[in-house]
Amino acid sequence: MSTRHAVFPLELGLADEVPSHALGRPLGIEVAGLRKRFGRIQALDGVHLQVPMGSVTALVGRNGAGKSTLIRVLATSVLPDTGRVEVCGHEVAADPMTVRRQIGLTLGEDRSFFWRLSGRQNLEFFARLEGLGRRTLEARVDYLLSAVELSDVAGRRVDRYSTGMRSRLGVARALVGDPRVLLFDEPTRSLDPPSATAVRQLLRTLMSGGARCALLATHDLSEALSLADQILVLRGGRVVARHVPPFEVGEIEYDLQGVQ
Amino acid sequence: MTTAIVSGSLLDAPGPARTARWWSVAAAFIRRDAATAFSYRMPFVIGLVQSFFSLGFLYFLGRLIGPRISTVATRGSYFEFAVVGSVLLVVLSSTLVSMAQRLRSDQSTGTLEVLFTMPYRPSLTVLASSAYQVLYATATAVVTLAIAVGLGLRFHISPLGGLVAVGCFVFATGLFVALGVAFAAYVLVFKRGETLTSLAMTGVSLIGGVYYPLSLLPHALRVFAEVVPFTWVVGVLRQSLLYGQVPAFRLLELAASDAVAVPVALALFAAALRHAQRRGTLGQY
Repeated sequence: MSTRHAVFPLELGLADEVPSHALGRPLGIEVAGLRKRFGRIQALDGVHLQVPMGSVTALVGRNGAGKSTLIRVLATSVLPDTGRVEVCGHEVAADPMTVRRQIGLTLGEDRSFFWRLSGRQNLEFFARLEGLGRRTLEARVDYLLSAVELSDVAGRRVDRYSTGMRSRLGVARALVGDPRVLLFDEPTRSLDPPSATAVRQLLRTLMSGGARCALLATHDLSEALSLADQILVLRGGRVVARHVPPFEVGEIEYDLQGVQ
Repeated sequence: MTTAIVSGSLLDAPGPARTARWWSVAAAFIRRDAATAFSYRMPFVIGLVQSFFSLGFLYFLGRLIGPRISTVATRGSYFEFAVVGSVLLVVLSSTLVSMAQRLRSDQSTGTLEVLFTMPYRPSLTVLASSAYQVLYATATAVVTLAIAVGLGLRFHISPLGGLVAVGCFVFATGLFVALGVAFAAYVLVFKRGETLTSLAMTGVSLIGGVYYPLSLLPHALRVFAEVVPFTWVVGVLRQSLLYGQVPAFRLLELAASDAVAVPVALALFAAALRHAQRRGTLGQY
């Protein structure tokens, strides 16, 4: 793990407030000057952010703001053009293997499962790929199925799951390898309110030990307000505002609208 | 290992960074594909029956051709000649196309991007994803050969020839794995690879010497056929299994081909992956 520590806001100069508990903690994610272009589209245009361990950072922004691209760069599935992108002190482009050992990822893709297999078989498959031994695997899969409230339907094939069930299974899959850094792209998008609350509670619980951090891309401002230690507003591939508690909803909405 | 990990809970600090061994990754893919295959019961059974129908087809074709023609054309029984060729075609074609097929399937279902963020090299995902199909094809080939023995197939093998046959099969598998990885690289960049793989398979059937000897081909096509790896392999196996010969030199050629083809194919795949990561197309289909 890197020994770099949270130093914002001085380095970035974007906000006056800092979540006091985050100061001095090691960084789970550090991004500086990240740019990514797809053809004519500048998806990310000089993104800076820091996510200290033990904290949740919410990325909010309208469609096409760059949230999913940023998550994918951190997950090593998209290569950055320029900039420094580190997860637990490891550069994503130079050391992707080490980065992959630290992350748990949901992509908001409820179809990204093997549909002929049950929920349990899917989780067990990914747990084996994560290198879990048999005893740990069984206990971890049981725990996660219970945590996302899928124990009752664990033996059912995924093609018979509802969209919300697949989303919850996606959250369980992201956690199966016991990652230090959670990269969640709209994890509660398809969930009913009680299920979304359960997932948020799970996230809060995971963060409480201070040994993990999460970057959460969401369109749901209430989710961001309830979970995040800082909220970053992305617009046109840039972080245009950072908010820390106590959040001013009106200000965040104003930043989201992009009114100059 | 922390107590939390043993209990399955994630409430304590994360355990040490994960590492997955290649054999446990391969085993996971084999279990996944076996479970998927058994969930489609009928296609699984029909696939087995189909391979036995093919054997019956060759048996009766061999009877039609008869010993007088086949002794000259194929140095012995046509049935034996064609069975060895077709069984090898099934195994090596499975090796050749299965990686591209699986990768394409994972592109379509949206699992590819997640698989490529697992804590090991993406090329291992591609290799492991073909393991079940290759093992299944090999098991089917062994059963087919056993039935063929009941229908009159006779091996003429010296101990050294047997070793050469096994070595040939291993090196041939390595070579076709390399070609399969190259096909997978193609699919990663251009997505639709079915046309390329079916073209390759039809081409191998045409010039690989599976169902008829290469001497029937026109000169230009024969020259081309003799540089196709499948042709070497089927030739070596027939020599060592049916004619009691020990073509050890061909084995060295195959080993040398592996030594070149495997690293080149892996480098090609790595380049294709970087291309897809730069363009952000891993999640697209």
